[in-house]
Amino acid sequence: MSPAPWNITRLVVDAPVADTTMAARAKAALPLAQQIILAPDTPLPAGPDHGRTLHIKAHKGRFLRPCPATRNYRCCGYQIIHIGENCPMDCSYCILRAYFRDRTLTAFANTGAMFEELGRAFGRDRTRTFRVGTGQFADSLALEPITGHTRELLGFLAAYPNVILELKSKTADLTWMEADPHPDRVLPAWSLNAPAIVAAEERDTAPLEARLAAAKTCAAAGFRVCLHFDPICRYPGWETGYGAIADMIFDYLKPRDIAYLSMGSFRCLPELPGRLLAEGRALPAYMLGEFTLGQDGKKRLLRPLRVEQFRFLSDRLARHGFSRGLYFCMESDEVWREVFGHTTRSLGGLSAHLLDVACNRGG
Amino acid sequence: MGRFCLYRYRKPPGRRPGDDPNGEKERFRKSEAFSRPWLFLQFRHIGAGVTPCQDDNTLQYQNRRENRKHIDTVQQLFLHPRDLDIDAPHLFWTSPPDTVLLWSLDRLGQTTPALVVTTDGRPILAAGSRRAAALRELRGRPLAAMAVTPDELAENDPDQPLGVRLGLAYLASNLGRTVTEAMLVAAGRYFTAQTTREDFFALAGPYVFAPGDRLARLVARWLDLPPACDALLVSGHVPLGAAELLADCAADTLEALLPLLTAVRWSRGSLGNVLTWLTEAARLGGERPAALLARSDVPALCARELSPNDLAAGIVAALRRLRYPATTTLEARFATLSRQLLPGGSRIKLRPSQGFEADTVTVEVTVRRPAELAKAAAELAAMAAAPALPRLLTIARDAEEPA
Repeated sequence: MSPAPWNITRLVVDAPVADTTMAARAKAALPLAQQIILAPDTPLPAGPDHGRTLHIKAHKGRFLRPCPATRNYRCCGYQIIHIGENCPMDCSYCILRAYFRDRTLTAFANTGAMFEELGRAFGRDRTRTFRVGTGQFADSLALEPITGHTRELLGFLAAYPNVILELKSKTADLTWMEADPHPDRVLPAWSLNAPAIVAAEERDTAPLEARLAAAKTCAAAGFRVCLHFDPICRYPGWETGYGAIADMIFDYLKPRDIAYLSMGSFRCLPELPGRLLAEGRALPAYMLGEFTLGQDGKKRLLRPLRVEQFRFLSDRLARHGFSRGLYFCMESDEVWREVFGHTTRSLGGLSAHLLDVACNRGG
Repeated sequence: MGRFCLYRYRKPPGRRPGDDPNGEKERFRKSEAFSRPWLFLQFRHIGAGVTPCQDDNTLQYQNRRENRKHIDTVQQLFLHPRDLDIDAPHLFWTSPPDTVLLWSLDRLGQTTPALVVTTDGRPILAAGSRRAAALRELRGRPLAAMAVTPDELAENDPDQPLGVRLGLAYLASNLGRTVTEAMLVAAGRYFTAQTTREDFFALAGPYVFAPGDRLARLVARWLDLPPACDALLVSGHVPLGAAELLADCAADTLEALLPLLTAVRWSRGSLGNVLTWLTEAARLGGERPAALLARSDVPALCARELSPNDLAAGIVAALRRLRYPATTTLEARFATLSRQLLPGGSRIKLRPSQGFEADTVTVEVTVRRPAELAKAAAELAAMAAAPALPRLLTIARDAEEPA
């Protein structure tokens, strides 16, 4: 008997969404999980002794929201479609550790309400192009085999050619392709990191080779992919590690297959290291860097050290012929200037630039 | 628990030594007894009578009737003070007699008996070591002592070895005394040499720790350290609060740290910072903290004849440099350029952006008079034209590789 996906041993479905397609799919996908229908106003039971809970519920707030960026650093203007919360993978650097109190996975099943809201937003001005994604508060595809959320969303978005959906993941799941979306409207995206970081700090994620192989499959199907080096960690031997993964990308992809590629230095809420220690985990070496408190209240590596890593990686990527879609996630004008010699202003704004590289296959 | 726990501390009567009619007033003003007069003349009720006491505390019987019955059976001895071992390990808090005690014994005689345990051989002094030591100095005076048999000592703990019961008796005789962190550890060392650590906390704990006292946890961690470290507590170079920090160090790290620990006085906070920096820097460099420390600036600093404050600041700065080479390099470069830009005695202060994140400098001027502002304005104008200013503004850009 195959083990439960992501070790989900309990499926809790809120009564108001118990009859939804997503709930039915989840029940079918998790036949061995304890299944609970939760009456309204009943608190979620404490987590199971073994495994974790998937909670299928209705989301009561806004589904479409801007990335929670800070104004002190340059944001890419990504808009989030809020499909769920938390991630079944376990990365030591993950910001979700700070966002969520426990490890319960949540998927929002009231897709009718979501599509109604999205339809209003996307249909208001169909000449305006939206770049949206689902990978901010959850991995876009981790629960896809269970919930079918993305396939449902892609079905809805087929009517909105002005929307480009980025699917950001550390899995190699491609079941979303069954929805047969137009290749220009979907940007499958993968987080990448140095092999040593993936091995030591990313539990339960797909191997780098599997991620890149999935990206290659997408490219072969006509999709352009996005790659994200976030977080870039500084650890002894980082040059070798990031050099290796930068080279490895081009074993699988051609520069023109990549719409854009982001670089973000490791940053965290100051309490993250304490949380790791409280979980009984040793602090990874990369968390012992020379950090300073950034203007967004997060700890980030001292600027010259970040710049050194960014320069290294951008030079390596440029050697393989990729530079146009390279950008920083949440960096200052100073860093943009130091590494690229210009700021986002000369690109017409980062959001507009990324929309351009996403829509136009300029290479 | 033995009968010793029946004693309880009572605030003593406030008789001042300066009231002495024999012209000793000035002498007492300079003595410890003047600041702590209750140490000088105290009274302990024994039976129906009132006997002056030269013990460190005023003790009162909780159950006078029960103790009177006991006292009726106690044998009183007069011993030559040199016949007693006043440095026995169970007298773990003993200290040399001070001038007040010497004066008191000289003028008033021994007002409180010591406690000895009779054995087949020499009697064992269980309490009263300072009195015995003082009487040795005064010469020609016997030590008055109450004698009990080993079975009578701490009779509620008959199964404990004599060493443990002697230790408990000694603690009981010192109840109410101000106990320092070093004394707690000394007691711990004594008892853990006689019995288990659990027994130490169970039997001796009530004498020295309040219920739930965090000191007990700290003492337990300190006892994990080599006994040589106890001198750091005695000298006040390291507080007991640092027990966990030091106990978590590997043996070679601790050995390498000892010269630093004895060189300056540490607070828990500063020691915590220094140890964290050292261990993290060593981990990042892939070497042992001891090896990193050996090749740092710290040994050379300790060898220089610096004032304690300068030495402490130097050690902290050196270890911070080890842990944060890039940050401290930027800070040093900023300080150097600032000095080039501003004349000595300037009222202008320059600060970098937070964490050197932005290419900005904050300029702060404090003035009390218009003339000072005019002077500062002239300095600012000169600074704006100085070639060092652009370098200061972009100090985090094109930073040199940290050493």
